[in-house]
Amino acid sequence: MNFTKYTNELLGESYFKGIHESGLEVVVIPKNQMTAYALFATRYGSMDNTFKTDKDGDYITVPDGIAHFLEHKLFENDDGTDTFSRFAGLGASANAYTSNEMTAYLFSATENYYESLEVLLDFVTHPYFTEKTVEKEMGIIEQELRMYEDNPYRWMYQALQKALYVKNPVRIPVGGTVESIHDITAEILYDCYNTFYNLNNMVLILCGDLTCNKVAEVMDKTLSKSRDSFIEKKAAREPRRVNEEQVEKCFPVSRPMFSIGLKETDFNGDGDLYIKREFEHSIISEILFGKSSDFYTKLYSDGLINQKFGTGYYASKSFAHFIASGESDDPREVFRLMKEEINLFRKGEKNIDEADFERAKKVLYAASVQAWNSTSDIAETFLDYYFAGADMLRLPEVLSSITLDDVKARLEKSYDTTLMSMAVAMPERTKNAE
Amino acid sequence: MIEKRKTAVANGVALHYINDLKYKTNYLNIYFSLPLTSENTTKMSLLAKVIKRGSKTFPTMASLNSALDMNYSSSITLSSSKEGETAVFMMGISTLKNDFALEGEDIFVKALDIAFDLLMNPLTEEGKFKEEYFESEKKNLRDSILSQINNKAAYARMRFISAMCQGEPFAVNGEGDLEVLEKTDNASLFDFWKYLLKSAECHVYFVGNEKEERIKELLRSRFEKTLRLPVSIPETQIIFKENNKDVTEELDIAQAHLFVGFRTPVTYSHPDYLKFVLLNMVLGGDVSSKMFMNLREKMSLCYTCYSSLDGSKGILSAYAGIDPENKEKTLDAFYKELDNIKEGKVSAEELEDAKKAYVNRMREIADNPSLLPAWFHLRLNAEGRDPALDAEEIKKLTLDDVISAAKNIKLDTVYFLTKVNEKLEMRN
Repeated sequence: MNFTKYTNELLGESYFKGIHESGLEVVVIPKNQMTAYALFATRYGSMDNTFKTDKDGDYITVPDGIAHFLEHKLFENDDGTDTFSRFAGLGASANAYTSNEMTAYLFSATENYYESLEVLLDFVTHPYFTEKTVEKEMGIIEQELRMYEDNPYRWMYQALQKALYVKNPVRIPVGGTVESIHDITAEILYDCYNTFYNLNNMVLILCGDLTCNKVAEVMDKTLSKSRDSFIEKKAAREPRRVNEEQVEKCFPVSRPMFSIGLKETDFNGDGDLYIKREFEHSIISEILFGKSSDFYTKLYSDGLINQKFGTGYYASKSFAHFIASGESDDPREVFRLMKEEINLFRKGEKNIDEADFERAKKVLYAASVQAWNSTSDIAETFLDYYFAGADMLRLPEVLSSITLDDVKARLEKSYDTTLMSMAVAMPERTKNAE
Repeated sequence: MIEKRKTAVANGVALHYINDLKYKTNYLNIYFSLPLTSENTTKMSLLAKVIKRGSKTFPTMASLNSALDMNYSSSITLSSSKEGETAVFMMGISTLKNDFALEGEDIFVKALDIAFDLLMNPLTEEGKFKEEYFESEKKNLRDSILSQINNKAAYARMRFISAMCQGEPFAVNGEGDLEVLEKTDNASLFDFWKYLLKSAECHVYFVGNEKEERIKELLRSRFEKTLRLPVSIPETQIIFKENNKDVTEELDIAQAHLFVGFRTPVTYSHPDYLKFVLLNMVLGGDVSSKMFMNLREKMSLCYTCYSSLDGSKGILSAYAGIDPENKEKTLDAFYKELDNIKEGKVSAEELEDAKKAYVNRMREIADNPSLLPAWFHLRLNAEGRDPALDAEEIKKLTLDDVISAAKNIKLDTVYFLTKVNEKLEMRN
């Protein structure tokens, strides 16, 4: 198995990439740290609910929350052992997470790196479900979903996706609902597993004091060749409008909490173009709404927002949005002022000056260097870029290539205030008063 | 073992220096400690917010944040918390290491200058903090204390500790108390600021690649103008109560939160501390524990369940997020597992897995520069404790150590935050 080395001199970082005979791509990021971190991930998340393979005549639709359910169930083995215990015996800790478009299994270890890798590759490639074990998991996942029901942040995140998007399956809650998971059977789990856990559809990312040769040895020992993968995910055509401009729900919270989103409509290009688009959004949000901005300073002084106000840009290949969230006694006013601010910049009544632009770039430069601190952060960030078809090592160079005109063009192209929605978690007393 | 050197810098300020070449970030945390009272925590919280609004050099939030951004997004965090029965005010600085400055700037010193300007040179009006900043941060703190209810599990834990430790200093809310806050005016907060700088015990932790001599000199020159006479902080009380309590509270929620609290005879400095750590690991400290394997994996009672040992106060607690109907069933299952431990029904594998999980956790902490200041400061009174050493020490413990620890904890409080009883509500 051959590895190719990629290096960034400025960062003093490099990684090795290769494709194993089984079809699995592997990335080894050497770091001289005691903690090694491994991610074994598939391009399969909550969004992938309608798809067809070469065996299916037509698209099939599976119950919401199945990718997450599958994540839970893979931890069980046919000999009755629990995967957590297998890692515990090696002194490693294991976990997994599911998002809109991926499922990732991981371990963190300070010794027995290669033995832990063997367990990781083994348990993810050996599914075992029966109707009985599926039934048992319902109770655990039901409590997980109930926990989210009481979590206003979680609700706002979910409600905002549903408000922003009309068709895009990012609307589907990652864990599904207490009702939808009851439609899950062992048979559907196997169907989804066999479709998406094909090694050609997956990647292995390792960060720590590891060598490519030894990683390849473990892969040779544990993996057999996957058949060619054929998956057609049903694409949804997202219209250029939001589903709902504003949604509200009551919670036992002390004051209104809000989450405001703006959806991106431009998905052209991956690789460096993907990174560039992400940086352009981050520069805009830093300049318009960051802690040094007029907007932030004014609203903070007026008591409309507090230190919990924050912004972020969330990107993937099939959806992307800018989100601002916080607490306020008057979320509608914050929403209105935010739209107003965007339009002032778009109409040229306010201008992005060179100094602000350089400041925002310095902030992002520092973040892209410090993303290379802990092995867990490096591996997880690397994976996100990897699945988006981009290379984390390229961040500083792409950033330095961005010009003020690029940012102005992005503002013009993507900041359409009619594509904004807001989700508000309201305190109960407001409900009673109405 | 981590090479950490402790030296006196100036006027009762101690520097704990750790050299790190792994990360691309330098960390410097300054801790000021006072006895734990609701007055001290409240004023520390408010002070943290007010001084972050501006100094004489950076009188507005925009000028301050812009200076930090231009200095490669240096971060200055100010916070207050409780560590055992000590109230702690912390200023944390983290910066990109100077090696990555694009034009040879001294990022570290610039960040230190900004931080000390906030701390020592606040914006004042008529011998007090700027009134506008004081008033708006007082409101922000009030909102923040009230918003603790937004995170249900954390809120339940706070209510649980407050019920269990009623009458002890440890019962106070680490973020502050609303009544104390209402009584705090600008002049008294300003006096508190002067008192904190003069009278608090002060420890500074540096983890990064700046030279030790340089850090010492930088701190010495910044602290030398301050007259410092630190007060002594009473030791945290270890208490055992005669009777145990059962407390239930209600809220409009879907999932119920159950805590079981025990008193232990140990804090970080006790020679037997790690025996109770191992007990905690076997009981519910990891995914290989009895609680996780039985309450979650076998009985499907919960998604989240764990136990934890607060080594600053000596409290062992178990938690489960459950269906409101399942309180008794969960308690029975939990006590059964605890009894199993007391009776020595712990397999060799369970014991080894619990040790290995703790070893892994300690080695990860030793490996992570960003976590070291907080880890060491919590164990300030446990001289010589070190994550790598703890990892070695726990390996030597036996099942008998776990059994004797289990027999030496005493049940104190069962706390249950559950959903509003609808039948009662209908009657009303």
